Amino acid sequence: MRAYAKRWIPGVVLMLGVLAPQISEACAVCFSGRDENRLAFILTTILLTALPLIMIGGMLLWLRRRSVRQQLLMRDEPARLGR
Amino acid sequence: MFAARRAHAPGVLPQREQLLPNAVVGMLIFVMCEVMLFAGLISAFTIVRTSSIGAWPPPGQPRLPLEETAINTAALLLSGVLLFVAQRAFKREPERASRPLLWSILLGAFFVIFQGVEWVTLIGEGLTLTSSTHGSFFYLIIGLHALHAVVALVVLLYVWLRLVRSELVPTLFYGTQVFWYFVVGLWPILYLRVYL
Repeated sequence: MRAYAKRWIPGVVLMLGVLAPQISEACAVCFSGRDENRLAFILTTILLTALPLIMIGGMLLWLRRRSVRQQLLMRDEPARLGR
Repeated sequence: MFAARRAHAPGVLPQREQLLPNAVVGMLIFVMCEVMLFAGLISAFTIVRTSSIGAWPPPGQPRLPLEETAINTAALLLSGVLLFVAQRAFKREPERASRPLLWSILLGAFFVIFQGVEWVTLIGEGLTLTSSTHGSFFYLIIGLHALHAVVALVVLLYVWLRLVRSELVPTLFYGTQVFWYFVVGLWPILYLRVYL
């Protein structure tokens, strides 16, 4: 009987844990209970994720606009020179 | 800004111009990497600052000089404006770019020297690299920016010397300009984040 109970106790504890979820601060570096700190984590994660995309996207967009403008200039040049 | 159109022979299709000089593209990619470096440092500083219990800066640590640094910030921003003026003059009459470029360099040098004086005062008051996380981050972030400013000033001085001798290649000027704009544009963000 005791051996049978020993086998089931961890499972029951795990089930109870699943039924009553709570914030678990397992990693003090990656998470803090303070709202200000949690917000800082979210904002800096957004910043570091979005910044490279914005920079590369912005540069490509800028180059595209320059390219289109240059093509328009080249297309209009013969007309401008009277050819 | 960088356009340089060439005349072409009749009957020959106009050759497509290079969109940006290689020096500028290279410098832009380098600046992007630098932006990520500083973004990482600012993020780490923000996390440490918000996780500290109590006041910031930590008790016993000196407060950073806000007003004096605001003047220094103005000097650096003015330096950026003067570099823009120099670039505009360079496009029209290269010899007229010399004076605004020199003033831009002098204001940048003022910024670095002023910051050095500020650091000496802060070290005297007990803010060192090992005194607290505040001190560590301050010297790391602000010091790294100062290092960038010094390197950019050396290159700008080289650009100015080449300009005075009428040997300046435009792409060198434009590439250096991008780097100085990065140094100038980054500073207000650091000032708002680290000093305030």
